[in-house]
Amino acid sequence: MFILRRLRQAWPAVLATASAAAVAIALGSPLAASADTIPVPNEVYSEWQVGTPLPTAPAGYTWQALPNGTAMAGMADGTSFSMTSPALATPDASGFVNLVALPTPDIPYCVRSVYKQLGQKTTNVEQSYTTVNGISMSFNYGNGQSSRLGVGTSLNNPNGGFSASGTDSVSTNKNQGFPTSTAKSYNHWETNFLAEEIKDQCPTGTIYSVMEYKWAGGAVVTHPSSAPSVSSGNCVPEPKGSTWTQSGTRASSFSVGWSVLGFNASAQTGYSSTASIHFAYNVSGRLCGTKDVPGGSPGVLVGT
Amino acid sequence: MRRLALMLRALPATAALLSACSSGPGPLGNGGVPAQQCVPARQGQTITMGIYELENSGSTPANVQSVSLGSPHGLAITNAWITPIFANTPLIGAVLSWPPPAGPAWAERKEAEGAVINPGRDMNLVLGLTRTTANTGRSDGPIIVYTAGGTTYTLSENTSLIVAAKCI
Repeated sequence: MFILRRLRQAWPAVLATASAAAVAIALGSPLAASADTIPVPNEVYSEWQVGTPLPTAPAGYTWQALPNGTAMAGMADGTSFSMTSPALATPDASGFVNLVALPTPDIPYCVRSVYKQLGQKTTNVEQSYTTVNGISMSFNYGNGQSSRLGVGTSLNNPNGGFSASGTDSVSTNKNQGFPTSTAKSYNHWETNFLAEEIKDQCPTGTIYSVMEYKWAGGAVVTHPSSAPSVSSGNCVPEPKGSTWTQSGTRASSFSVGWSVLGFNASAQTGYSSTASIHFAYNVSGRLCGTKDVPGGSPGVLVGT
Repeated sequence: MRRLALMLRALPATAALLSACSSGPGPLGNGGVPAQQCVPARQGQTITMGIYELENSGSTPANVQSVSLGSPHGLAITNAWITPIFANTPLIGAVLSWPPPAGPAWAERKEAEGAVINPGRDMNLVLGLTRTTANTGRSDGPIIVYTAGGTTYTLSENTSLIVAAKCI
């Protein structure tokens, strides 16, 4: 009771301080000019793997941990939930905890709830291309694989105006195979994740966040109309009968991994060795990376 | 007390030894992403493995001391060369024979051991690999020991190798 009374007494001061900070950020004041300052809206997401150092929170902000995907999946629209300090969070099966940085004065006062479950969203987790017949291509999204997925936030508007504000991480708990492409093919390898919109009522305003939080499975291969261009200097010849398999690395980040409410979120796959992309050469050809040779840091792989 | 004095006297030498060797990434990079290259070849056949790039991103020349295979089983290096990589030209890559086809890059080859890779230069490590077993030949990526700026580095390429009767 005493604490509640103290809180009520302190509330106007907290509101004034926090509002001033929000205005300062919105107006691009010196506070907003800091390299660590989060752009409007003033929340940012990140993922953290237990056992590694916590990412550095921006000045004046503190990390809070979200419930894990299994817990989030059980929450209906309107369900309130609390966050914890990262040290007390329950990680997912791959040891990841999703974090949100809140302005430190807001931490005790924000009221967080599930605004709307958004259902399954198909998400691009890998891309690869073959520009000639005779090179087959396959992708496996393995058990324990994590993808880093873009999170969008919007100030006071639940229906739009979302902008990128960090990432979260979602891990698989089963193996997902994809069909093999046996002829010339431009492939976006996609799978489904559960998405939701979170409402965060804070003294600085109401912030809406859209995020994917749990893997749902499924294999979808879509075919864009063109392949990325590659420089010959990023290619290695491959003889007939050879294969190349890449695994255990972070795949390229895709600027449009998934979309919701007019927001295009990024996606990046590859924290563990369980996701792999495989090329088999039934004809002699080349394997190229969009950024480097295949054995370097190739970006997207293209068989030619 | 005498033991402490001896230990203190040994400190500079220990520090010098530590600074002369580094297990961290050096100017020739970190070995790239984990991957696996499989090439078909019969027992006794020597193939060309020219898929590795050595780019000196440092400010001092890199002197290659040795090239070996990591944990080889039934696979042996019979030749190790480096060739220049010309702009907009593919690496020599994987070829089912040894030596690789003649070309401008191959014409400028140098033995890998003792080769100097100057700052900013991008070179292709080209190995002759022989499958020495009736079973599938395997190894981790090649290990390149080199010195740069007075420090010795060990680069382990992350693309492992399989040479088998069939890959597909």
